[in-house]
Amino acid sequence: MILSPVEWTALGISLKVASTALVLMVILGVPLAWLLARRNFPGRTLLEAAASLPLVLPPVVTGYLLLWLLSPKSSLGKGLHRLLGFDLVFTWQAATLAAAVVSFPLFLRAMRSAIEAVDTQLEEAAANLGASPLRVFTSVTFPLARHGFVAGAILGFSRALGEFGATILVAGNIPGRTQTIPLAIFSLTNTSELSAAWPLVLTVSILSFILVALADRAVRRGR
Amino acid sequence: MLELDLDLARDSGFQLQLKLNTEAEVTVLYGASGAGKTTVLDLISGACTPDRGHVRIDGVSLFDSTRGIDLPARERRTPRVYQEGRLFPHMSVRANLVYGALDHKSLHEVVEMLELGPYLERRPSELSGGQRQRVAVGRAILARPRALLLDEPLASLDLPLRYRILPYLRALRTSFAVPFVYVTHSAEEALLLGDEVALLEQGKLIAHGEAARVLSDGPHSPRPELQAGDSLLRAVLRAHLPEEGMSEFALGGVKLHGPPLPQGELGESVYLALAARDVILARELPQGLSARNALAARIVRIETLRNRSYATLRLEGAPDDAAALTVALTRQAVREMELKENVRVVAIFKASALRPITPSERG
Repeated sequence: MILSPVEWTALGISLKVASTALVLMVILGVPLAWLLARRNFPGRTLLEAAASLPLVLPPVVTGYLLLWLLSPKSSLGKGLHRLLGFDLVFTWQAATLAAAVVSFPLFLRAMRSAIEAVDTQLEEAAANLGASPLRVFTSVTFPLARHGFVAGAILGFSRALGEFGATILVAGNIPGRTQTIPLAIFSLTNTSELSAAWPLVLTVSILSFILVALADRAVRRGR
Repeated sequence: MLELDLDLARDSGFQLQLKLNTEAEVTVLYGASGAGKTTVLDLISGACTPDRGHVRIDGVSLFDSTRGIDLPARERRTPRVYQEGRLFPHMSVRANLVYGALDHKSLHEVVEMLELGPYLERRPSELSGGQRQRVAVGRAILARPRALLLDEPLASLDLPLRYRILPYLRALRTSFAVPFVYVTHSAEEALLLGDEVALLEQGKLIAHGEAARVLSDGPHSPRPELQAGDSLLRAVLRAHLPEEGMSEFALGGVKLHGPPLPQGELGESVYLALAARDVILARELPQGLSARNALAARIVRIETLRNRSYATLRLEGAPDDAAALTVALTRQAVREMELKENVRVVAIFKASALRPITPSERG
């Protein structure tokens, strides 16, 4: 089972897109998870619903909304063009954004419920010992919720790796540039015999299996 | 110097009103559950905010409603020792100890005093309950507190273990000049540790002063572990009388006979509890008495509660600051014996009626 050069490139793009998406999810997801788990503020329910929306929305719809937001004709798209110097749509960065948005709820949920499970009495004890809120989080809350972080990161990464519907709308299917593994499989099934996609299908299946097993283990350890 | 002036009304209807100034090394907040003891610690440590009042320790205001001061919990330096320890489960004992440490120099000393040396690299889950509480105390003391707040720190331990922790607490209090505020509903702990006891009932300060006096002041003081009306006499162990099956105590110039106390050291202070119903009063000393204690006393007051009368006595020859003796009587006896204020009586009780309150195990 040997991948063709184009397929190797697709695997590389997939890993790059999923990893970068994961970084985005973590940067945004950890503080948001803490906020939702520990603080009450106006608009909380709305934020919660918005962050979870991609979980229930068809990915194609999410992709459509993203495309609409990011298109060079929209004001956000124009602003981004000025900021980045290029149009975001139909780039691997757009694929990353699509993957991150669609996978975000999985990471957020795992992280949030792990933070909620941390005993607030321990946080109170830490504050009484003079710890700042940031130190309470980094030294007590986060270490005790780390299994949720690991599980959420693996789930989010896996979901990002398999993202198709939103990606194809905002990033297209350009071999060597935005074509990830799922898009490559899609192309192969359109143009060649069905069996031509086997090497990629098996690669993705094995990778996903390993990741899910790791996520399960992380969750079990946290209990 | 700890200065508290606290007013708090909760939605549940619970009200706390407390004014307390103390210079004691250990102030025990004592009372039944629901009296507001833990709430007082919450208000000192900043876990909740009073409606009005102030919290000052050695002149530093942690909270003052009139001056708009309300330091956040982390700046108050009033760490707490909780009933369940609340150690950080993912850290070693060492990491727990130094978590809030401002100087690490005292670590060695604290480890030594609390005998935690062998456990430094262990996780809290690998420790016994008593060891965990020692770590919790050490962790708090290393944070260089303005005051150390202890919330029933021994309640989750079984009885023998409790008395093994108390000496550690006493040693720490002596070495680190840190005032303790100690919440308990155990009369023993209050007596063995407290310099002063503040008695709380339904959010109000009922009495405040020297431990034995507060805990044995009259028939109606609510003392969860002692019977209502129990007297507490602080006496000195004078002699072992093994052949008589007794020991001898002195309360100032008053000689008392009590049960044997073989492990007690002569000259040691011991609290003796005496139930109000175990004391007989006579107008004159009867002849041929089997009871070993017959003490001259003067009636300070007589009160009647629920068809029962209680006489409060001052023993003749006892020091002025000694606790009074409470005696339960029928109303008929009060009438027939014509008992009233200032009447001289003899208080009679058996040696076995005195119940020494001492650590059952010494650590």
